[in-house]
Amino acid sequence: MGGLAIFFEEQGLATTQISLIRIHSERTSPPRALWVPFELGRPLGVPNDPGFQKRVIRAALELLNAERGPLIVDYTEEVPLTAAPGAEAMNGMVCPVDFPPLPDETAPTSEIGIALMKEISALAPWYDIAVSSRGRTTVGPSGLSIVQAGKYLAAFLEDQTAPCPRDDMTMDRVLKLAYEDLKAYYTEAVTMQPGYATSSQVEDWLFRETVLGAALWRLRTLCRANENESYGYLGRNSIIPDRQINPVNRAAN
Amino acid sequence: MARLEDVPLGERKMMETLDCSGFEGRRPWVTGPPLHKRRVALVSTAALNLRSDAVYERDETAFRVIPGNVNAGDVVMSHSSVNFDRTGFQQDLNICFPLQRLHELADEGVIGSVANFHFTVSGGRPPLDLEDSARAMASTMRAEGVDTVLLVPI
Repeated sequence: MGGLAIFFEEQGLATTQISLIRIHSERTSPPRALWVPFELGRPLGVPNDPGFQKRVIRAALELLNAERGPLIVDYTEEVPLTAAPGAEAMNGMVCPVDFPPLPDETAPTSEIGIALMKEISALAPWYDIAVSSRGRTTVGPSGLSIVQAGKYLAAFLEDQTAPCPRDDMTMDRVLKLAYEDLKAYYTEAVTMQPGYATSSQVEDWLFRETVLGAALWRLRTLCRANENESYGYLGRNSIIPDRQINPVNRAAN
Repeated sequence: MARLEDVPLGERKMMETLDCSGFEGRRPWVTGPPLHKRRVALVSTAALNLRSDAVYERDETAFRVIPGNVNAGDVVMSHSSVNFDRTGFQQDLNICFPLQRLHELADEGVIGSVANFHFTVSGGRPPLDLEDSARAMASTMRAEGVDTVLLVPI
């Protein structure tokens, strides 16, 4: 991010930026950076809180009034513990969905696939409410329907040479986009349910309490063992978040 | 959470070892008109793209254009990293691409105007890899009278 700012300034454009990873700003030393103490993925702090977001933007814009730089300024307003407007003080999430039982670690892959399709179906009402309420969805980059995405993931778990449902992208890319669509479908649905859940609570639910989570852990194992480097990369880096793999070091939020 | 000590060990190592070299001694400092007269564009590293655009490939250094009048439902994300929260983005595009907030600030007279076009790249690469894309984005921005860029990470 800091490097981009320097490129733009060298092209005659004034810049100011939000910084999430302070050491990167310190190393590249962009002209103006506002470091914010928010979690990765939320540079404006709180979703659906225009007032909070505008305070962050205004603080970043005000750096343009500085007479000299480079400068890194720390933003001190923290995200409220009760987080999003309308949040209720609850421990964990309410989850009135009739989920299929979680397959154990030794369950045959075919059983996971069947349970996955049932789970996708069980979440559909909540996903539909989410789309209706928010007026949008972020599901879709794979170009597959959510059922197609689920079937492809299930098929891949059973046979890594399973036919790819798209022929205009590499198979590893289709697989990645398919399971990211599934993750988005699940998390969009669950965050519509009553009560409040932090991002890490949602992530714990996804990877510890759902069939999709079990499928993704199994996918990670398969990809890491696959001789194809593209699948190996997915397995090492791009299926399970690091804070799920290293829970000892997990963040507090 | 973006305090480094709160980041899980593996991700922290990647952050600490990302190659940020190539900027030593490069200290450009562009000034401009008063804030209330500036024309502002957004640049995001969240690998956002329109549904009608190609998704980002892993390690891609090209950029995508997001029109200033975009419908939030037309914006999706194809970043390869799994180590940041996406639930905020799912609930509110403004959490990482605050286009609506910028328009409101323009309406309030805080800034002069909002650009017609905004840009995204896929972050996580050594920043020097993005120089060609940055030049191309800057050229487009200057052509429509943009004088100020607000950069937003993911």
